[in-house]
Amino acid sequence: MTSASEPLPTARPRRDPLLGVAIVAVALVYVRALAFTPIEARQGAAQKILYIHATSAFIALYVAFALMAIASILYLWLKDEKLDRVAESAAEVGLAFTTVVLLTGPLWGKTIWGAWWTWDARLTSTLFLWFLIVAYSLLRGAVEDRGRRARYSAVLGILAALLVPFIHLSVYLFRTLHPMPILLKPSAPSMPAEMQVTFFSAFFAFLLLFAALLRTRYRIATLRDLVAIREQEHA
Amino acid sequence: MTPDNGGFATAAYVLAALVYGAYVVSLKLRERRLRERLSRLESTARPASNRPAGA
Amino acid sequence: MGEAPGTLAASWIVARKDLAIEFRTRTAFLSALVFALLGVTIFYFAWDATAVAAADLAPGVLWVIFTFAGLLGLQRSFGSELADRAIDGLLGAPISREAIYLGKALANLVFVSGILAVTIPAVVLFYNLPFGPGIGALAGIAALAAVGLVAVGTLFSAMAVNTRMAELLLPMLSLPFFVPIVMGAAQSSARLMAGRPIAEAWPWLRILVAFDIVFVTACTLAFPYTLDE
Repeated sequence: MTSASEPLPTARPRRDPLLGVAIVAVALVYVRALAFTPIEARQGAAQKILYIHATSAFIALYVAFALMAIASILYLWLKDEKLDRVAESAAEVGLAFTTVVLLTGPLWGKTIWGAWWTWDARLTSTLFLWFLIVAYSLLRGAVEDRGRRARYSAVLGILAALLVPFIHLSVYLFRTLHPMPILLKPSAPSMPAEMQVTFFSAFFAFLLLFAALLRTRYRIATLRDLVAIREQEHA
Repeated sequence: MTPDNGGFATAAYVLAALVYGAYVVSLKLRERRLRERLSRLESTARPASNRPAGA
Repeated sequence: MGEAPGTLAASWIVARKDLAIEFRTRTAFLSALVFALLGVTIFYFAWDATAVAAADLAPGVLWVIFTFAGLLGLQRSFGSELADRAIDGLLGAPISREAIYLGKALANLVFVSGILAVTIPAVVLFYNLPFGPGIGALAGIAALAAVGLVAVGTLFSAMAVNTRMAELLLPMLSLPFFVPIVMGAAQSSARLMAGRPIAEAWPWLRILVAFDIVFVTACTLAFPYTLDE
């Protein structure tokens, strides 16, 4: 049930500047990273992939997925439908970010490791994150009753959060006990100041993008539930 | 010798822009369709249904 | 009418009921068993026997087959209940929700253990595994792996059975969770069967045990939320 205090969305679109601002921010970071940041001598221009890859990875795992897990726990405790919509939105936006991580990672990896994919702990955990969010979305799609859908998704969200550390640990153990080809360590120990500025600008811009996408997706979830209620009233 | 791998960087940046861009477009389209459906439902609402949402 | 049974006793009652139903027809068990044995056979012919020794393949094959045969067994777990809403009868009984979960999980555990009891000797036979002390350890590892599989699988089958695409959904939900189990079981059993010292297998066994503890607890606590009240 949407609470009485929350204004119901109307059919007329409201102006939401956040998304526009976020897109501009990301575009500016693109320009800065590609044109105004020095090229790293050892790795070449491909090192710049770091600015979109590492930031998206951090946001996917520690912002989107964490939000999904926390909203799931809170939903089971407080039973507020808004929390379910937050979890649902965080999951979908997180999926977009995780997809970018999995696409840009191999492109960067090929240049530093010579291989498109290595089963290292972080990459593998990200792959599993992707699988889990897809499973979460499929589960939501398969359950029609709103209350049951919310409960099932919350349970999966929490279990998924418990699983990720196990995946990471297992793969880490797998790699340390299996002799693997020596890999070049990606980023240099200390980043020059210009690169740091680009890195943190990129992080801020993508965080803004995440927030904007989350808000839009949350609005869609609220609209969808409202449409369902109205359709029931008409029936 | 700095390796010449700018192509990889370009490809990655383009791919990321495509994924995020496509997602933004998809969100916008879905929002618009839902608002259209909502306005259709509310304009044909029966006058008797003054009940609060979900009651 | 005596007092309502405690959780453990209630679980046992639920498990016995499930197993009794299963035992009457035995269809699901026999199907899963035949599937496992066929899988073991097919895997043998999928590899180049001159390039990789059969004994090296065996652990991988065993645990992959274990996963899929386990899924088959889990499918039947709530299916019979759905048929005539018998679960409503269970919910009406004076037993806790957790007991229902533990009982079903226990029944699934017996089921999966039965499959393993036939599949492991089959793998030893077909892949010419050395019949040493590692085989005993294999039974222990199988028990740990089965507990993990059943804990997660019982919960997800309770959810999947209420959806339109249960047969597809259960593997999609469960398989990511089976990965640490398979890794722990395969890596530790490979080392033990190769005669390596137990210290080498120990980190993997620890992961398996930790997984079991975390997920049996989490799934027991989560199960009541999968029931409509």
